[in-house]
Amino acid sequence: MLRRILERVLVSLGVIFGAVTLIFLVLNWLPGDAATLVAGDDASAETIAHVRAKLGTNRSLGAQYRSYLAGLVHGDLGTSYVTREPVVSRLAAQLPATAALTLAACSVAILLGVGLGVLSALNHGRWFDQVVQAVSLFWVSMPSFWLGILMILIFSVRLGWLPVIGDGGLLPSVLPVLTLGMVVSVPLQRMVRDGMLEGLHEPYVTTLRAKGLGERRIFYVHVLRNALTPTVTLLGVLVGELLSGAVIIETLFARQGIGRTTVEAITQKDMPVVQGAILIASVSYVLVNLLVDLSYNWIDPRTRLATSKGTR
Amino acid sequence: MKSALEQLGGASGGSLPDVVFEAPRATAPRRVSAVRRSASSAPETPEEPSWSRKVLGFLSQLRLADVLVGISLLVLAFVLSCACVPSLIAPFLPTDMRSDAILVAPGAAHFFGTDQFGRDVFTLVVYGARQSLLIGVFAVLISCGVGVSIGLTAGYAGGWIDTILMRFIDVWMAIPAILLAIALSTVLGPSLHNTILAVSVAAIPRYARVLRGQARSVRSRPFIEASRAAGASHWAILRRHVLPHCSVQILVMATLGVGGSILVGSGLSFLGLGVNDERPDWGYLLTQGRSYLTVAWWTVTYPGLAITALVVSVNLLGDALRRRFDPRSAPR
Repeated sequence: MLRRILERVLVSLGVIFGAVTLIFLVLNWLPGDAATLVAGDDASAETIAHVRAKLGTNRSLGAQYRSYLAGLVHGDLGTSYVTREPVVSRLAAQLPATAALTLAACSVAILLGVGLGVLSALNHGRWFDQVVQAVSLFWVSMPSFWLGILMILIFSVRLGWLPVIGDGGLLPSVLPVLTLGMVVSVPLQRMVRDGMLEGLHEPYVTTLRAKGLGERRIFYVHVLRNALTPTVTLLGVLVGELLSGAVIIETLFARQGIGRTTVEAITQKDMPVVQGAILIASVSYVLVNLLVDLSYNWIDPRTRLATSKGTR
Repeated sequence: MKSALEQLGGASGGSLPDVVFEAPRATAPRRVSAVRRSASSAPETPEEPSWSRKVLGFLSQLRLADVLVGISLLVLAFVLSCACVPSLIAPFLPTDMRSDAILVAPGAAHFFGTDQFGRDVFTLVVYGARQSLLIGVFAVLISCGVGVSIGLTAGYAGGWIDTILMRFIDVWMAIPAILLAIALSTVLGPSLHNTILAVSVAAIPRYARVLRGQARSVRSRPFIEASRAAGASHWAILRRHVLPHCSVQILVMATLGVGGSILVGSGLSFLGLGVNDERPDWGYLLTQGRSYLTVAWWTVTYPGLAITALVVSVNLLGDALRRRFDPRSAPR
């Protein structure tokens, strides 16, 4: 048990290290010189050389990578090209807003996804199910920012119920959270629904019926629990979608947060900030999936058996 | 994972009222005409009762799923013709700016209204189809090609090759897709080519993962061993046996992937990293209109509707393919 946990943690650390390297390579190795970006296109050769020396980009890629890693180990993500403040403090200031947005959206997604999934499975084939399936098809086929724009048009412009943009406070957060949650809820809803429909035909349901258990209890306690197990894995994958979605939603609703900071940094060609933000997203993704992986032992007794046999 | 409207058709086989079964004929042309607003009316039912009964009989045999596929094909055909010959469909030129018609609401002269430069939004949407479709199709061709190659190689070879490739894919997947696409297009700069490249690089891991699983299961089948024994090279086995066994999966994933790529591409445009102003794609049009949201809803609504209609159609087709070929999801 402990060995397995240790193993998973090590693998995750390896993946994080790999992601750090990949992000570094993408942002530093590909064409596009940071010094030229900072100094501007019309800067003289000397200025560019000067900036290059100041940024340390005149060194070899290997040397830059080494110093980046050394900084990283000490919790240093570099310095912003634009504001000259440390990337860590700049991103740390933005982290709570993004964390709040993604967590709230995640709760909405789970509520909507599991709720609608269960209800559609219960009403399988009836109009409720069909409406949910049709609506969810549209939800996943819309660009998330368009869904957000439509919500603004309907709830803010037409009905005037909610403010269009704004930071802090509960009211301006309703639309962003709902939009992000709705987009992410669709895969959950489908998985819960399909899982429950499949589960209803499993032999154990017959056994439970034969034991005289009520349909309600079978449905909500046994079948639902079994359907939720793969849903937890999916939730881990969806964290990536949530983080990607946060970039777009924060930009659309002009909210504070890491996503909007990233987009701002991109327009200013502020590479250390972009690099740091993507790094934070990747690390969160890996950590959440590590947790999901470890929680399996606790959620699904079958994996416990499998690991003790060493099949996984 | 991204199954769209999976059981809508399958489940509703015979239980829907006739009204719904007649809907296809009515909706199919109406969908198109809603976009084109050409005055084409639905085909008149002739006087002969036998003929109309035949049509009704035919219609009542159609399942909702088939109807949806039909509508999707119509939408795709229309978008495709917009992409190929926009000048035949659009009433104006995308460069026509009329200072006397700025932000005009949808009406007889401009079905979709005009934007802040007095350009006809319908024309812009028609001309934008090519960019959006190019992003969707080419991003899938690249990501599918690379992803399938990696996945098949890893799954078929197994051993250390598999381990190395899949660890690499794990790392690749750890960077959320849109963020990876953002990073790439930041470095590469905004253009159609770079958007396609960024979108496809971000989508590769998913293909690799799924195809690796498929290849592994095919590899363990006896006929692979038999071909090896008969002297077939690994390359020949991969090409003649493993790949064909995965072709359905590839087809389904690629079809659904077109929709996903269009969405990611439009997201990049929204963030200002996508296609530039000269040949605006739908995502860019949407972004432009965002500034005029409160005064001119049409500038954002119609480009978004175009994206959604296209992606919904592609997803419906992908699901239909899956239902057709995947025995597990067939009856329910």
